[in-house]
Amino acid sequence: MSIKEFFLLTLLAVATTDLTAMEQSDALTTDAKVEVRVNSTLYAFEQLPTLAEVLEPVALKQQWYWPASKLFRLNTVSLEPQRQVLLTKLQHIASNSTPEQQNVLLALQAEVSGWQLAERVLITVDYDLARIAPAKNPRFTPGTYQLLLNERPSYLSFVGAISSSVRLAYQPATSLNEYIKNIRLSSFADTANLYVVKPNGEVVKAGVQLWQSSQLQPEPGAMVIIPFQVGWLSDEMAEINELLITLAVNRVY
Amino acid sequence: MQKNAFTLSLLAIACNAAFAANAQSSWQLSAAKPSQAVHGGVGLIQVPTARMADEGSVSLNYTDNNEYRFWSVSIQLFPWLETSARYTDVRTRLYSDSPGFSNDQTLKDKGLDVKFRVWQESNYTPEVAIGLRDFGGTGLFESEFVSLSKKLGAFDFHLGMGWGYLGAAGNITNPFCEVRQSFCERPGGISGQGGKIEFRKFFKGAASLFGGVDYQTPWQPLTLKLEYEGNNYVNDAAGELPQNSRWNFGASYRWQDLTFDLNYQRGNTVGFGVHYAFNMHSANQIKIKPAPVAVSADRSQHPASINFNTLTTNLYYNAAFLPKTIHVANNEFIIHGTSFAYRDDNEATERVGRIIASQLPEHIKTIRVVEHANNLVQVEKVIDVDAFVSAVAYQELQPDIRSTYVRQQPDENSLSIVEVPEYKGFYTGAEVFWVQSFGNPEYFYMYQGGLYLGAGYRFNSDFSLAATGKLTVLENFDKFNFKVDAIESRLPRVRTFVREYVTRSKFGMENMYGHWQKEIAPAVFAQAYAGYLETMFGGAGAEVLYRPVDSTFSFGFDLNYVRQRSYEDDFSFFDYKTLTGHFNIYWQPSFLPDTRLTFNIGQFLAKDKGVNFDFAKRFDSGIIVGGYAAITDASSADYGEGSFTKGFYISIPFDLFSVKPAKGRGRIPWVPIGRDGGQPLNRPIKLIDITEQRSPFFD
Repeated sequence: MSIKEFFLLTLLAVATTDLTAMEQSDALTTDAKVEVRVNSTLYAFEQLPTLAEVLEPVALKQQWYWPASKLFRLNTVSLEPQRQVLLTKLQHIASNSTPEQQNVLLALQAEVSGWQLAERVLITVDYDLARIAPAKNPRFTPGTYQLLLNERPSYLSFVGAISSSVRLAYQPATSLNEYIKNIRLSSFADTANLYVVKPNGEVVKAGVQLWQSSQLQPEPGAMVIIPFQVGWLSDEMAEINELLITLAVNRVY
Repeated sequence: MQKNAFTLSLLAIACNAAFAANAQSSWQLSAAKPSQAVHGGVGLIQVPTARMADEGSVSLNYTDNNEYRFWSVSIQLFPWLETSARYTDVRTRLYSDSPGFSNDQTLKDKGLDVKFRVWQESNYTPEVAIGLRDFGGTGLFESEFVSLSKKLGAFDFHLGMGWGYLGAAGNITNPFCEVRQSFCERPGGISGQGGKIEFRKFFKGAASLFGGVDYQTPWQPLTLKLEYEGNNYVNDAAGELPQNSRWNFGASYRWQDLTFDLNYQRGNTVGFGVHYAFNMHSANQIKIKPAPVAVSADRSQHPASINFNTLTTNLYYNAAFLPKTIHVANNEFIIHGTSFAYRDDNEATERVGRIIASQLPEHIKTIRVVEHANNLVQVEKVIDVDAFVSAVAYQELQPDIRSTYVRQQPDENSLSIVEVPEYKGFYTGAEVFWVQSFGNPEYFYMYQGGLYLGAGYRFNSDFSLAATGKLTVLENFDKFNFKVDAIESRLPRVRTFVREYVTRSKFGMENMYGHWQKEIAPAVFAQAYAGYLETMFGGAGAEVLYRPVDSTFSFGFDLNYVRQRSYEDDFSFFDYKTLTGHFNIYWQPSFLPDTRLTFNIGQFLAKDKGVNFDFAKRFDSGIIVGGYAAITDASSADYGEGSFTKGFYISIPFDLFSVKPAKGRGRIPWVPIGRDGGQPLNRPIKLIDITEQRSPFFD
């Protein structure tokens, strides 16, 4: 079984557990102030809940890996315009470039159009912390949310200037340089300016060239953005890279 | 002579505690940092490289290689600018031939280096830096260089070209000499009276290529170095030094904040060094603070009346806020007071807000905190209570406390409807001072320490009388071999009698003056003072300053008529009188982060006219590094040694050495040579200092 398959199975398993856990799924009461979809199960709250209250029904059901949990707001800012700008730009550049570049750009275009996007709420989601520290147990404001809980991810994902997005098995105490060796980079990948979107949403810059001395060990579940080399005369690629990072942070996955 | 008071309070001892707290903020393995060269500043052994330390990094260095000893400080002010200051001890030469003047002290020389990064490393290009070593004019090691560095895995390769000391061997033709004849020969001598930047010498004379490699061993603390230098040591300050090889090699071993060097130079000399490094951005101190008062989200449960006893006790002990008066009206809560300990204004405001909000009945929607300091109303913080409570009680997912209040010019209403009691009566105070001077003929380090004992009477918020006595406790100034220097001065001796003043008596009157101050219009502050204003001058003066709240720009002027005080007793005067004053501009430009530029344009004490320019850079820990230079119409010949007034300083918040929150700072100055030109009056009070809270730069 490949890592990809294994992960898919795990996801399915997670989803099934949740569906059985809550029957009211998708049966919404109209006066609910806060709706939180935890993985695939919808919870409605008439009173504004705190984070601990939202987590309470699901927290102990599985061995959730809190550092990789993510919260998104579904009813606010749409990232669709930004996605469209990126897709158009990719299309535009692809239309007048080499076949190799074209493949990469179109693969990325297909990848990004498949993403589910929502505004990421950059807070720590941790049931234990929420129960002991008031600062880590904020109250939800009215709206619709998506909360993703995972068991400890066993992979890192790589997106950007590569022929197709890939997932590599996470290896403890391994620096980014080691992972990159296993990736088939395109010739216009900028490996001196990689961006690592940590599972908590933070973006860290890292480089894996010989002249770069820092060693970054990505966390399980991190998404590594491999940017395109920025040309001397055009900043179009720089805009693509920037959009890609923004969308990656707000990607529901 | 440097002169300034800074509290010695455990400074030396606490140094360790404060900076050792530079804990790793991440579990990621940190990259090996570039190490310091023998002369101070990042480099190999003798030669500099293009590498830069982390921004905010300070390295205190001591290195020794037989003939020379170097003490240096290297500061990375910006990611692209490294500055170093150095004292050199030449063991083989005496300070002067006259033992009566300089005892048996060996020759000391000071030097300044700068290095600019002009190109950052990338996949195909190296990092490139241009630097000046010992560019002050009388430098023993005066050189210019261009250096390139390229890293390949564990190896960091360096190649450079040096002129002057670094290029003395002349192993290559000076490329500029090919272009222009005048670059073939390096002019000798110094311009003016030294201390000037010798542009006319730059990149002239013999040039050499130099280079080398840093090797990061698999054992992380250890780095090995190999270099080829471009100096032949024929015309060294220590005399001609034998050189068996141009290759030098060495090793650096890192242990916590310390680095130890061992090297073998010139094929015949063993050298060693010790470096202590800390970072001014990340330096911090563990604090013992009371827990912030909890605020319940639901204010409808609060009793209708406020318990002022609890409120004021909490304000004092939890928020370090001394309330002057409180007024509750309609839906507003107005409080006047002084914040006395929390250096971070956001934290201070949050604490005050929490204490008040935790008791506030639901119908009160606004808190107005009017902050006083130095008997002036400084700033008003208007807190939107509902938003504030929602944020501090975590009623939203991403609370932002700072957005729930505004800092503004105090509102007329907040001032007029509240009766604020005037401060009046006697007051006293004591402050420790430490005056030090490096590089003197008698002894390298001379110092004087003691207490400033202050007392005064305040009639009201505007008017007061103040006096300060100076009590010397600890000094070696009694070892002075001469008082008034023998150098002929063409300017009035406004500052060079300094040794007379500081040694006259163990107890003396430092100042005694009447003082008036007022905010005469919104954001316009004025003061006037008369009496004995400072150690060397007395007279009268006035100042006006326009300083809006949280503005990056403020300006004003001061004007003083002063007469020189006698150094023979406390109260009499000499004949010298002068009018001195400046137009003052304070600016924090947006293109230089955390930087304040100060321009004082006007007439100085010796009646010379010109501008004093001050540059101050603030780091995240609150440490400020600054430098200034006064350029006036006094010629360098009139000025004497050093050619013009310049100095450097580091200002350190006491908070970094205290486990309790504290305001206040100590300033450690370094003035290479103090002469009479470009000297301002040390006004006893400056408006820019006492209105600091309006647009904080220091804190």
